[in-house]
Amino acid sequence: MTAAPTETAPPLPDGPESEPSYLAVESGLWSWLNTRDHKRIALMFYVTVLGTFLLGGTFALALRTELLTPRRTIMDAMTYNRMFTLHGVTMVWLFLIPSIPTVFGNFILPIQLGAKDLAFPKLNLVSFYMFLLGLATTVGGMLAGGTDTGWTFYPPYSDLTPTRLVPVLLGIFILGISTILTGVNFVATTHMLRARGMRWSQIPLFVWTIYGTSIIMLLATPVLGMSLLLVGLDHGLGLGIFDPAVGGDPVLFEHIFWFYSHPAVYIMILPAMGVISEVVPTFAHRRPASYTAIAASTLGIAFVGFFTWGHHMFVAGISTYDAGVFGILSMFVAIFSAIKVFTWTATLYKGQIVFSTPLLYFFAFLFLFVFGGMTGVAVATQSLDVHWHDTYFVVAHFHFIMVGGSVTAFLAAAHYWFPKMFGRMYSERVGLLSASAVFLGFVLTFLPQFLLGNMGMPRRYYSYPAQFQWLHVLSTGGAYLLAGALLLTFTNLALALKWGEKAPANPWGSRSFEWLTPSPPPKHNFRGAPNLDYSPYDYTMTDEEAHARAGQ
Amino acid sequence: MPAPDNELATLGDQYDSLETQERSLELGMWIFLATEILLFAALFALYASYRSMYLADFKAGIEHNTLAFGTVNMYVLLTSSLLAALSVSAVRADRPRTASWLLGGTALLGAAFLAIKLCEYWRHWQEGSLPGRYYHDRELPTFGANRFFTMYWVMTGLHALHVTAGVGVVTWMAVRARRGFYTRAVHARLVIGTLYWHLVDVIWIFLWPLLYLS
Amino acid sequence: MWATHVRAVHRVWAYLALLALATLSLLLGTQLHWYWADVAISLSIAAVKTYLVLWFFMDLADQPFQARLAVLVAVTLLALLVSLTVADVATRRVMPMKSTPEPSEGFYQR
Repeated sequence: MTAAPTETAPPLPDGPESEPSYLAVESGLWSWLNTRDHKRIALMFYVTVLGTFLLGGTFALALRTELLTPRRTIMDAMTYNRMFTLHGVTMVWLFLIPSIPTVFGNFILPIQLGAKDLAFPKLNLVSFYMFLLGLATTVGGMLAGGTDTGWTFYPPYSDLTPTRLVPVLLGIFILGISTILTGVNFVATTHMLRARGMRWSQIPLFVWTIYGTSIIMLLATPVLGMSLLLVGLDHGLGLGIFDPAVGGDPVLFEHIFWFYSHPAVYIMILPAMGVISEVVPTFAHRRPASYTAIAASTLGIAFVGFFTWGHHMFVAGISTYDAGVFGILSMFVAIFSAIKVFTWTATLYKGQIVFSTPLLYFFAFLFLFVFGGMTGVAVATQSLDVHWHDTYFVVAHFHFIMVGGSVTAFLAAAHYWFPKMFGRMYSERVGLLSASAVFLGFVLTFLPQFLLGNMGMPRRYYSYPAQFQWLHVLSTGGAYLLAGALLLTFTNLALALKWGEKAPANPWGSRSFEWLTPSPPPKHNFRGAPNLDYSPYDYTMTDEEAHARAGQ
Repeated sequence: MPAPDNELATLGDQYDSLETQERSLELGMWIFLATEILLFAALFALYASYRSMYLADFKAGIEHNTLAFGTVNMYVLLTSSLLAALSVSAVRADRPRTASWLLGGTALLGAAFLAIKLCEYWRHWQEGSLPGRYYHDRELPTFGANRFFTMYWVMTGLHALHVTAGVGVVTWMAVRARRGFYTRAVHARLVIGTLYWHLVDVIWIFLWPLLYLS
Repeated sequence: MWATHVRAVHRVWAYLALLALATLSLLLGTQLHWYWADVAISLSIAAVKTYLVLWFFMDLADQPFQARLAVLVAVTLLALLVSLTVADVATRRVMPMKSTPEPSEGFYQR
C-alpha cells in the first residue's frame, strides 16, 4: 500500500531550473554563521572537529616523541603530564564525542528520515556555538598552562594540583551542554519528523545508532557535569567534598565520573557502528543479515552500557562485592557488539560486493574492533585487571576501539558520504592507499602497547626502564606513520572538493534514503514530502523503482 | 485559528502541522527534564553514600537543621506549582489575563522561596554550618555532620540556582501571557515553561525529607 | 487540539492532597524515629506527591508514551547510580570512621 505524497506538484526536473544545492543557495559569511540548515551546521562542525583532531594529534605526537627515550627527550615531567592530560581531554570531548554525531548525524539523519531539517534548527545552531564556546574555554585553559590530572580528574590530586584546572573543567561543562542540546534535537526529530509511512522498523540503521547515542548523551552527560562541578568546587573553593581529612571519600568521585565515562565510550562507538551498518549493505548490495539484530543490539548497548562503570575501579578500593557485580554486568554488553559483528559479516555473504575505500575501512574496523573488544572483555575480568590496570594494556585496548573503531568509521563516513555532501568524487586510488597506511600506522603504534602493558609498563609514566625502549620506539614510529597517513587521507578529500569529478546522486547504488536526493542536496533535501514507506535496504528494487516509489 | 500576528503560530519549515510542532516542543522539554533528573542523581548518590557511612551523624545534622524554613518552603513551592498549572488551564479556557496573574503569583512565590533560603543560609553561616573545609559548627563537630551540611549546601544551592532560573522564565512567561502570546490553540511554549517549574518543585519534594525530616 | 483529561478543579484537589501529604510527612518525620525506616516512609510519601504533580500538574496522562518513558528511564538510571554506589560503600567492611573534631587546617598542605 502506497501512501500518497502530501505535495501535489510534480517533481522538478534536473538542470538549471531545479533547486540550487544547499551550498549555493545563499552566499556570504553571515549566511553560514546564522544558518538554520542542518547541512551547513554539519559542515561547520566538520571543520571544527578536524581542527580539534589535529590539536589532539599534536599532543599525541608530542608525548610519543618524549617517550622515545627512557629519560627526558624533549620536555620535562610536568609538561609531559599536561600533554597526556590534554591529549585525552581533546580527543574525548573535543573530537570523538562530537565527531560522527555532529558532522554526519547532523547532515544525514534528517535526510534519512525524509525530513527537511531537525526538529529544532535554532537549537542546533545554539549547540554549535556552545561547542565553540566550550572549545574556546578549554583551549584557553590549555594556553594558560593546561592541567596535569589526566582526563579523569581524580581527587585528591585534582584538589591539590597547582595547574589551571577550572577553565578546562568549565570548558568541558559547556561542551556537555552542547552535547545535551544535540541529543534533544536528534531524539525529538526521530520521534516527530519521520516521513509519512516510515515505521520504526524501517528507519535506517544509522538513525538507530544516532538515536541510541543521543539517549546516552542525554542521560549520562548531566552526571559528568555534576562530577566536574564538584571537583571544580573542591579545587576552586577548597570545599573538600571528596577530601578524607573532612570525612570525604575520593572513590565516590570515581563512581560519579565513571557512571558517565563508561557510557561515554558507547557515545563514541555507537555512531561508528551506525556508519558501518550503512557501508556494509551498500557495498554488498544486500540487505543486512538481520535488521532487528542490529537495531535491538543498539538499544542493548545504550542501556546495558550504563550498568558497567565499576570495572574502571576494580583496584580503586571499592568493595569486592560491588566489583563482582560490575564484572558480571560488564560481560553482558559485549554480547551486543558481537551480535553486530556477526551480522555485518553475514551481510557480506552472497552479496554483490564492490570493493572500495569505505569497505576497506570496514575491514580494518572489523579486525581492530574485534581485537580491541576482546581485550576489553579481558580487562573486564577482575582477576586479570589487577595485573593490567593502569598499564599500557588498557591504553592499547581503548585505542584499538577509539581509533581502530571510531576513527576508522569516521574516515569511512568521510569517504562514503563525501559525494553526497560535496557533489564530488575523491581519488579512489589515493583513498585505498591512505586507508591501508592508516591501518598500518595504527597497528604499528598500538600493538606494541599491548606487549608493553603486559610486561608491566605503567601508563602516564614519563620515564621507564630501558628494556621497554624498543617497543616505545616502534610505537612512536607508528604514530608518525599514522599521522602522515591521516594527512594524506584528508588532503585527498580536500583536493577532491575542488578537483574531484562531479558526483552523481547515487554513486554507490545504495537504497538508503539519503541517496534519493541530488548530490549535494538542495536546502530542503527532498522535492516535496517524500514517500518513504519501504525498507532502506531493499536491493530487490532498482534505483529507478526506488525513486518512483519515493516520489522523487 | 491563531491570530495572524501571533509569532508563535509560525510553522517551521520542517513541520507539516502546528500540532506536530507543539508536540515536538513538549517532547523536547520532557527529554530535557529527564536530563535534569540525572543531574541531581549524582548528588543523591553522594548523599546516600555519605549517609550510609555516617548515619547517626546525619540524623543529628537533620535535627540540627532549620526545619521551619525548609517546611515553609515546601508549602510555598507546592502552591507556586498549583498556580503555574492553573495558568495553563486559564489559557486553555481563553483567559490569558488570568494566566498572566497566576504566573505572576508563581514567580512571586518562587522569589519568596529564595528569600527564605537566603535567611536560612545566613542562619547556617552564623552557626558555622558551612560546607566542607569551612565547617566549624561547635555543636556538631563530627565528620558526619560536616558531610551532611556539605551535601545540604551543594544540593540546596544547585536547587536554588534552578529556582532562580525558573523565576526568570516564569516572569517572562507572565509578561508574554499578558500580551496574548499564548492562545488556546498555540501555547506549547507556556506548557514547557511550567513543566520546568514543576520539576523544580519535584526536586524539593525529595530534598525536603532527606535534609529536614528524618 | 489534543484532548485534556485534567481540568482546573482536578488540579485544586491534587493540591489539597499535596498539602495533606506534606503535613503527614512533617508529622511522621518529627514525631516518629524508626531509624532507617524513617527515610523509607518519607521518600514513599515524596513519591506519591511526585506522582500527583506529574499527573495533575504536568499532565503526564496526556503526553505520548515517549515522555513517560523518558521519565521512567531517568528514574531507573538514578536508582541504578544510587544503589550500586551505596552498595560499594555499604559493603566495604571497614570500621566506621570515628566522629572526632578535626583541626581547622586541612590535612594537606596547599
